[in-house]
Amino acid sequence: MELLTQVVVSGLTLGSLYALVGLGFVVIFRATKVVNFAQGEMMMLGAILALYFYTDLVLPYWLSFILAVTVCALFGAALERLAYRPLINAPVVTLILATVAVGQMMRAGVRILRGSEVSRFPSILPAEPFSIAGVTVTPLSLSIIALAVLLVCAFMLFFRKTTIGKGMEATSENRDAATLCGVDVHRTFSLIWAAGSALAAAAGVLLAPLIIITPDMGTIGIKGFIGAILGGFTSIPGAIAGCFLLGVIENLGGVYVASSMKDVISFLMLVLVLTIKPNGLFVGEQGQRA
Amino acid sequence: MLLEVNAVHAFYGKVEALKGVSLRVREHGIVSLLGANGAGKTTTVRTIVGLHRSRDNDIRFDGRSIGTVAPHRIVSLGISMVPERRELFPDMSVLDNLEMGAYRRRDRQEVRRTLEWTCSLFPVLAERRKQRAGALSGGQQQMLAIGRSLMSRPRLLLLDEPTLGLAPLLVNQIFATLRQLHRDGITILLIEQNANQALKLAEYGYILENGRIALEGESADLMHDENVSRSYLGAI
Amino acid sequence: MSTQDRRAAALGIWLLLLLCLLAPFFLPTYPLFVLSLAIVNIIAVLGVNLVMGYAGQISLGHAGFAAIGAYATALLVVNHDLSFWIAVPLGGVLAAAFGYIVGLPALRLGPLYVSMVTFGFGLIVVIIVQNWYDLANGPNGMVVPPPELFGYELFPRQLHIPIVLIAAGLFLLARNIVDSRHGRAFIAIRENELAARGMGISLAHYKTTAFAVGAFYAGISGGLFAGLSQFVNPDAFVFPVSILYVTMGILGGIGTLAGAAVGGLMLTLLPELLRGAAEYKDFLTGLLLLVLLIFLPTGLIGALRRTLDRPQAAQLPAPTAVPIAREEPRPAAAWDPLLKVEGAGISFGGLRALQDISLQLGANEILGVIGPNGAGKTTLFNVVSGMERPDRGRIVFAGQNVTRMPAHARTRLGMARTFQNVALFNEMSVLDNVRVGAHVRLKSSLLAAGMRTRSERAEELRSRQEAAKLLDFVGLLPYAEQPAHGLAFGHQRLLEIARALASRPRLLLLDEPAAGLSSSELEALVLLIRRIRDEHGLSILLIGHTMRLVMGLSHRIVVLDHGVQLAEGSPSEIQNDPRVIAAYLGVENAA
Repeated sequence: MELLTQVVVSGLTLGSLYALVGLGFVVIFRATKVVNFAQGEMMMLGAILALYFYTDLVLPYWLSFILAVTVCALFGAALERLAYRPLINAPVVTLILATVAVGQMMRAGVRILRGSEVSRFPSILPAEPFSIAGVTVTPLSLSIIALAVLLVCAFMLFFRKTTIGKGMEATSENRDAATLCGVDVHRTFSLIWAAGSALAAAAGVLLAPLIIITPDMGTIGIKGFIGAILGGFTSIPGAIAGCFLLGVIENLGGVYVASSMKDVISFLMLVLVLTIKPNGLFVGEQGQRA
Repeated sequence: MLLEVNAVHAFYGKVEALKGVSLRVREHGIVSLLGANGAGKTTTVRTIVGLHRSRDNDIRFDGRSIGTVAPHRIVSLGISMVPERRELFPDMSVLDNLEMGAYRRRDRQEVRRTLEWTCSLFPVLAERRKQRAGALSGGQQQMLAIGRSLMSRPRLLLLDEPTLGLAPLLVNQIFATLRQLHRDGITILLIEQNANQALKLAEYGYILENGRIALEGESADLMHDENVSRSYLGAI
Repeated sequence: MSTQDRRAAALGIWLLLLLCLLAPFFLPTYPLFVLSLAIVNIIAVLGVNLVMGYAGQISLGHAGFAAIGAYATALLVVNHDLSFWIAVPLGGVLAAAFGYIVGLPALRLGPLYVSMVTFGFGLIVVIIVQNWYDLANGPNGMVVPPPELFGYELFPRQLHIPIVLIAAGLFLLARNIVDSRHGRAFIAIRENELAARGMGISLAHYKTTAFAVGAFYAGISGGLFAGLSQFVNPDAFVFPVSILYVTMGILGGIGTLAGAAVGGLMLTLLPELLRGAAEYKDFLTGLLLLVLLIFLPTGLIGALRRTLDRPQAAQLPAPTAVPIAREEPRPAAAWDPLLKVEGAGISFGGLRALQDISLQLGANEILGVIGPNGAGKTTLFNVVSGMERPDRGRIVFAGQNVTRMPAHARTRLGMARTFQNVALFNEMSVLDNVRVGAHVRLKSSLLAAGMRTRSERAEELRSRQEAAKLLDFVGLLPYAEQPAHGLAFGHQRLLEIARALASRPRLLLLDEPAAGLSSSELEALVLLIRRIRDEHGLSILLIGHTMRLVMGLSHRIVVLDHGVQLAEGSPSEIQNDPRVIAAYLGVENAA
């Protein structure tokens, strides 16, 4: 029982990060119908930049966090302008391949600049566990969940309540109609890629203390996408719930099956859900399929 | 003239959809653009608002050339279009849809006044302001589409088949609203299949055939022109 | 491409093959090894190309299939003492089986999900072999003994010639498949899924087949790789390798077999010249892929073809107009309803698009369906052709209840259709478009096509001749070898009709065949449709907005309005029916 609750808590921690990345995936996907295969690499870049600001430049943690996210957002907007906008009328397959290419360049680029050394993010919070209501948690995982949930909520408020956010939503739902309303669709696309990248980078910074930082850590990013598909892509709350669910299931599988099989489990779940309930677990029948 | 369209051409790939279409709409006027499926009506209005651009075209609004104005800036000039099949934002609320119509307007106070006016035209929208736009009935969706366009306080309103697929009662209601808007001083260019009703509403009509204006004239004349019913019923 | 260019290309390929075969006699060991490796890669790229370039399905996990082939070969050789030459094809077959399974989700899901599933598959394969200590040594990999042939051990130098021969054989096989009815089905799916379904091509069958064949190639490539490098480990099949295959395909030119060869060769040899570390190679591969996607999406071969092809589209003459003989349509011969629609109804999201529609169509009869925009004409058409399933009512065709039968099966029963917004297979030649139309009548299996059996060749020849005859019938024979997208719009409509006729239908469904035609083209079309009915003896369901066409051709007309059957009768009855006039011109003070 003790083990189980602990596994669930660490699963939720992971799930909250998947939710952050996943939200970024969904934001980009809804607008462009593209799975951004470079999303995980953006997460990796966020982690590495934060590490650089925090340990090499000795900036305060919060500033390192904000700088890393900002740089990634700008980078995301630049990628949109240079790599994806020229392909705006190309088939979806071409765009997907373009994100694959960008991801590969980011991975290899970081390796070229930084070497393949692995690093750890110095812990900023004590890792000693304490218990609330009989559940043992660490301050680290608790603060990660809290921050991740806070960021997810903040972004959702941004999309739903601000004029710019509504313009993004409108652009995602109907490009022509948004143009007719006066939305500069090109600029909005840049913003959307920036927002998606910022979300990934934030997840990367939060994830950094939990894992070993390598140029290949981006593979984790794709989990956010899988979680989002599990929950249902058409509804953002569904997608987020799916990410939490994936984190927990994966962790359970990691403990009770084999830790090396985590990724296998999540992909098998993806295929299973796509076959049985292609609209996602938490979305009704009339949800649309892209 | 508020709107002048001079010998406009449009292409889809190699297909020439518009082969030199010219039309004009005077300030406070109400003009209808009629024609069969595929004649080029929708392409004409999409070209006017800049959503379709395959050639440099001479289009003037209030004397100013708008053929190269970025499409998202057209609405700020005072041109608003109600697109064919409504093209709402289905997952956004009715209120959000309406507010999107005022996207480029900054004066909150003024926008609120426009919102009240729009809701007085279509009370049902006020009742359902929290609902998803996609959950509305066909007629309500059409009202929302018109309402959204009105939120930009346009001088010129372009409507692309606003009665498509609606039951006769609703068709009458939409036409009554258009009459009202015209009285309020809005200039209207109306695309319709429903020739009789459109000609009764409009003062002037154009009939498109195969990307060309085949016929134009005062509505009263067109209504009694044999060619009109022939191009519609195609009697040989 | 002209015949001359084609002959030059064939000559080039033969020379290249000869050069590769002779390479062991003049190349030092390491360069020869790299060349062998390039050829092994080409085999995998051929597989990627079949999936992506021909069937149009994305695959981001081809290295996974190669891994299956490689590990299967290694395990069979090491643990079961099987001959390498038997183990490799077995590995290929196993990979094909996995390809089939991976292809299954592609049936219902869009390119997005297929990219996710193939990506995940590639990842899973690597994870599994990494953790498979008992059999495959996990991350340390397995040593594979040099393959033996007639008791001789073949080290990389000697293995080169067998590899070249196998690659040449597989290239030929791929070319044969691509040139057959199966290859045309692949391309048809890539170009236009909707139209492919309308031609009776089962998307399910061909998408999974494409993945299986593509995986087979990757599996063989993996097996040969195991023998060539005498070592397999998980690192050889990681995600960047899958990307490398895709980049090779795109560099050469996706959708061309020669492109796979060019791309595979160049991208294996170039990095060797650069001699950089792995991360530089990865970075450059990514950069190259991105640059190609943006600036040269058709690849080197595509660019070459474009410079060779002289533009020919400009001087197409318009179809000649022939005055219409003013004959009254003959009444249908014997009343034997070929098609019966009984009380059909369908709703979309609460909107009732069709309500209680009943109609009958006799043999050799032309039935027109008209109605204002949004009346439900196209929906009715889709219900009859099987693109939509009605909520209520029955569709009976040729005495068989087809209500729940998928579109491609109805095509087999003898229904053929055209599309309102012309849906041709744009990149295919005009002639091949028509041959896709005959897909359901051709019988040769994939294997027969790959081997080019005598009966397959005969069938292909027959289909060419028949297609040419049909093109002649609609007057498009002069354009037979041009790509379909180069045709003038009016010609494209005629090509659609020829394509529909190629399945030898008993019922032809024409959806607004006159939309967008000039009036002279329209006259020619009326004449053509009448000739079709008379000379091919079939029934026609004609949906039209253009009254001149429908009134002039139909024996009877059904009028739809707001999804309801408003009237039915002869053209003159319909023309004078006040309800019809009201529906078209708008009701005055209705309701």
